[in-house]
Amino acid sequence: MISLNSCNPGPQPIAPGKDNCAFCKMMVTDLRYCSEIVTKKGKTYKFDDPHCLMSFLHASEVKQGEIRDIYFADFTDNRHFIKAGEAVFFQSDSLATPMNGNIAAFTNTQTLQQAMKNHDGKILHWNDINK
Amino acid sequence: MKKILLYALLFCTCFSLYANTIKVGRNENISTIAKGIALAANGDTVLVGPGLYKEHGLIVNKSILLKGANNPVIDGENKFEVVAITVSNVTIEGFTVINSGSSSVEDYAGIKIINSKNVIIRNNILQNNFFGIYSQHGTHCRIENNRISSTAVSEQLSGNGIHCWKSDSMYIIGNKMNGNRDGIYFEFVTNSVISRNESFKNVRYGLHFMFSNNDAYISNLFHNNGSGVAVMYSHGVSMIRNFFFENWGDAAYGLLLKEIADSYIDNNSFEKNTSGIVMEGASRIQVQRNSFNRNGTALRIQASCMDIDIKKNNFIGNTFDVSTNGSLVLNSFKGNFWDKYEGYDLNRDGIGDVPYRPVSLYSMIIEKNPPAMILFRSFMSSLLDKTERVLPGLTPEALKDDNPLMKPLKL
Amino acid sequence: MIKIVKYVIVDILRNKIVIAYTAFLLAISLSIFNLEDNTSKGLLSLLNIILIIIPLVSIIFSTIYVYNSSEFLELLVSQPLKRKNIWMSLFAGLAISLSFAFCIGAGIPIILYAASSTGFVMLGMGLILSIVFASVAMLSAVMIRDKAKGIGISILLWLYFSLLFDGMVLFILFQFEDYPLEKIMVAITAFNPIDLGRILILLKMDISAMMGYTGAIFRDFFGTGTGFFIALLVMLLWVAVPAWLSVRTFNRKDL
Repeated sequence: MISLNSCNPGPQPIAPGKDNCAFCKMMVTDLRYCSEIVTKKGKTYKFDDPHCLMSFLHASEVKQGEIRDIYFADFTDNRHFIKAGEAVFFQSDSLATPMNGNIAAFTNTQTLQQAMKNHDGKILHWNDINK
Repeated sequence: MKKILLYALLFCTCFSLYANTIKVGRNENISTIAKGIALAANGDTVLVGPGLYKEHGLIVNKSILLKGANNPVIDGENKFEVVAITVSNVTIEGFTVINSGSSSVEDYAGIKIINSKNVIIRNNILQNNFFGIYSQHGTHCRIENNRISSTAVSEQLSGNGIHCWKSDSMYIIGNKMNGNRDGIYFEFVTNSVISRNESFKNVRYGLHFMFSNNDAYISNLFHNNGSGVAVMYSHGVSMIRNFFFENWGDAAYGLLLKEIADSYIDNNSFEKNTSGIVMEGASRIQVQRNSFNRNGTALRIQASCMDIDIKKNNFIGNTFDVSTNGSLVLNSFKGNFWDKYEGYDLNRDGIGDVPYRPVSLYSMIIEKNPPAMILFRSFMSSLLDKTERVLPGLTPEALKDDNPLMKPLKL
Repeated sequence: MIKIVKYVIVDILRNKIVIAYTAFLLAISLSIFNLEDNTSKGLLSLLNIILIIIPLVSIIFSTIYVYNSSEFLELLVSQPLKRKNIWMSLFAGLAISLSFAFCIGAGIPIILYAASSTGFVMLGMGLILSIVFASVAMLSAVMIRDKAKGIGISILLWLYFSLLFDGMVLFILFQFEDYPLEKIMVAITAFNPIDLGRILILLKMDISAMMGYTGAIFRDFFGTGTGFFIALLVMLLWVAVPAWLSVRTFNRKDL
């Protein structure tokens, strides 16, 4: 049971007020901007802001080849994780993310536009962010 | 010359004659604060009598003194902002501001300063607001002697006690805050002073600095916060004579420094924290005359730090004195007192004759491999430390205090 | 059977080593609590004693006692008594007298100075560890005929549980650094009663916050009622399995 659990390749739930960001070491309090890297060997790194995830990738603390998947929390449903390639991102200064990345992830463009209709910003995709 | 002075005096008295006092209250002609503000002119005083005022979305758009007599309560009824200040030279004092709205996109606050200068907010009580006092593009503002409390739960959205964003020359003095997300939060704030505040039992940090340069915080009390105080991505921060105590929990620390440069940590006291100070990517920092008592790990210095000067501090009763994750040591330890020092002082000059190595082998193992913590307090871990102490080989050779003191410093 | 147990206990008390052990524990625990300025620190120092001294004394004393009573065992076997009963009475006598010694030696100071939940967990773990190592000693004594070799094996077993096992854990941790090992570690502790006892006690202390993320995972498991129950069950298995194996061997043994 225990070993099965730890080999589960999916995203691990993030506990606000308990888990710390793997990059900036801040305590996670806002689930809306969380993200995760899961390695092929099953290790999970949790982040409080997309900006931290990107910095973590750039710092190459984990090699590209070892990453199995990257997940982002759904802005509208915080407990749900979306694979990086499938997510739609919204970049706007009116999003005050913990580390000023100011990017949020959505499952599709419709939910994005619904939630953000009163805000100016740019719609991005994983390829735009991951440069 | 005399004439000009006389005219000036006359002008002043005329001016002050025009500064009216407008009374708001149950038994007055004006019963709402909004109406009182509407009737006031720049320089007037709006004096609000005791009672409950259910007025959300109050906007102070004139340079007035808004004063509460006997703590009148302004209730936001959990909707919108309670009070917003949009002009300079406003003073708000003596109110109790409660129940602002909360939102996932807007930062509603009890009292908000928007693009203003010389605003004074003092002697207020703020309860159960999303954000307590919020300054956005404020300059030369004083936030003084306020009592800010909230009942933030980590699961829910919660705001900060005093939140300053893109502000300059702020004076945050003598406030007391608890139960917020962060007690005080600074983002893009420069040339500001935080002094004599008490920040405790906040969900995340007692004080949180982000991208805020050339600030000082002096003589504050931070205790029992979710994870202590965090100073991140800033430079030129002076941290003097503060108390950090009982920040005790799985990932808690007294003080976290992340990407900090050119700063001073002077005369502070760190007591009973899981980690006293955690440094990552910090450089050119003077850590002097601090006392570290009974912490889990007094100092955690990641290998990414450089030019950290640790001088004349007391380390007493900590489980681990210093821990690090690398072998490259670009930091210096000099003239500290370590209670675990077992050396001798033959020439009686008060300085130990053999260097002290504050990093234990086991603490290094944990830094590299955190799950090794399951061997905490086992026979194995103490044996590892004992052998390393006798025959150092794995701990960083240069990480040592060449002049350890024999007696604790008087701090 | 009760008669044999009684006889064993009286015999053990008569040979004074257990009395000396009790007095030693009592002296150490009392001085620890008197020297340390607060009780949680005292408990921490006592933890080291419990994790090192208790298993050592239990296993060595029990092994020697079993060898020394070989003539007595031969005598009993010649009587119309079940071998199983004889062996279990011997085990019960050892377990009871060692537990009794621990209760007086460490229990009384703990109740006097630190009657908290931490204290009681520590007391419980000390008791179980005494019995576990008596049980392991019975097994090694019955498996090996030569006394010197048997005592040697007992000492090695103690060394294994208190040191070598942890060394192996450390080795595994570094060898498989890239994998998420935190949860697997919970399972691994089950293979060493000393580690299991240590972690159960540490989680009750406020120092457990130092264990960080690893500690949090342990707390999530052992902190729940089920987790604690499972841990307790594993401890009891550590008593039952060696005892059962030793009974089986004794039944077939040619004395």
